Amino acid sequence: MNWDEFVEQLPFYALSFAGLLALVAISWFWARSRFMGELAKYQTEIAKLQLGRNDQLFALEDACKAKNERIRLILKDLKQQLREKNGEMVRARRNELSNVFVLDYCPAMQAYCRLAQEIFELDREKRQQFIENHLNPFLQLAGDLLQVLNQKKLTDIAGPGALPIRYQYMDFDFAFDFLRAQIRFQDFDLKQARKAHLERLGFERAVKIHN
Amino acid sequence: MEPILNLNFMHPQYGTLMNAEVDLSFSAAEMIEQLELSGFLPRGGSYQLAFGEQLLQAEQQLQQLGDLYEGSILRIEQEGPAAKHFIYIQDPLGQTYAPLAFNEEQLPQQALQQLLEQGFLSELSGDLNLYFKGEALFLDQSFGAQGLAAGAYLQLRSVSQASIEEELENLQKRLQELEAQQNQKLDLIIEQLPPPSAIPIDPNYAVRPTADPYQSIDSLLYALRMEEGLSVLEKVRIWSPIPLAIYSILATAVVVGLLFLILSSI
Repeated sequence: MNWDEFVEQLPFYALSFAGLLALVAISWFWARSRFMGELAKYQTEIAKLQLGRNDQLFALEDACKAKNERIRLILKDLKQQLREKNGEMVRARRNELSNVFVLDYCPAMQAYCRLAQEIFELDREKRQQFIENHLNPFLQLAGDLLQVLNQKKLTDIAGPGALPIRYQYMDFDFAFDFLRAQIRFQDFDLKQARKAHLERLGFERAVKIHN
Repeated sequence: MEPILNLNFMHPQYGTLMNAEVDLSFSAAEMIEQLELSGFLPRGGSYQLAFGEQLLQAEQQLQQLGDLYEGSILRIEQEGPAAKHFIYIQDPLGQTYAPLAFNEEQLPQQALQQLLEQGFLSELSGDLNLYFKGEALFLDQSFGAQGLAAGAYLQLRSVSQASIEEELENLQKRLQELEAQQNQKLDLIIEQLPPPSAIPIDPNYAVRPTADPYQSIDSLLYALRMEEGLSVLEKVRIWSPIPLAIYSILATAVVVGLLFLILSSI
């Protein structure tokens, strides 16, 4: 095959290439919109339901923001006490942070998650947004706090009475359940995020036992 | 439908009033009978209804009295020559009327004395006077000399006390004045109020004063990490290499295929 022949057959090659591209694009769009057709008919119903429940959702969001602010203020004081090397206060703040997070923030987030789960049950995109804007930052903060509170210098200043802090899976199961429900839609991204959060929070992945 | 009016009937002896809703198709005799049945008038007497100067015949209907109005007073008169000439004196509270036989020569002073004897008045205080159409009568001149005729209505009240109508008028005036004052004050207050959007400025205090700069949770955590010289905490991103790998493998396959085609054609 010489150059002239190739030029002669170029339209054929261009057409084949375009066909391949089209195939790739179509498969990509098909994968993306696999659930959209089924979900479209529920969209109006969802919108109707949401109208009445948005207020509840906003109230819970505000509650979560308040908890976040409380944690920020405690963290600020912890930093101050650490600078002043006030061991007792550091220990108190460290325990307070852990307690407030687990006993206060987690239940508020759980209520928020539950309502979101109910409202966005059939709305994949909204669930995705909820995860990106609320759930992921929450789990991120949990992991960050855990790491910071267990830092060596901090525990040293807190004194011998300060035990290493560990979370219980029970307190965070709602968040991972939410993620798992979303992963059913074949979200590779969330699978990775879930794995990362599990590791950061010190939870081992379940060992699968095949009977 | 026959008109119905609220009328007052005056007792011939005691001057008390009976108030009733009356169907104007009643004749005078029927009305008198009703009043007797109700116990307002003693049975067996012969009575006649009178309105102003007019005397109603027994068969005459009430609606034939052209100038009757809501609340007008009809007198009940006992028939007979002596009973026809009365003047009526309203007591100071304005509730009852005392009929007095009219005598042109009688002095108002004597009339008052008579009322006292009848028991209409409990005592005769010095400043009591009789008024006819708002004007005081001279107590030492006879009724006839002052232009009074039978059937006149007189008011009895103390000299210092204004008539009830005047009192009411004064009261109303005062109320109106008060209302005007209140309105003026309200207008003044509304004028001086700041517009609803303005935030009051207090020169002494700021709202939620704070000297601390805001630090986010992230920067606080970062500072705590820096205390020990540790690295920044990683963000967990919602991102996976798997879709990217699939897309890049596809793209590579396309490029390789194209190259292969080009090379094989040369």
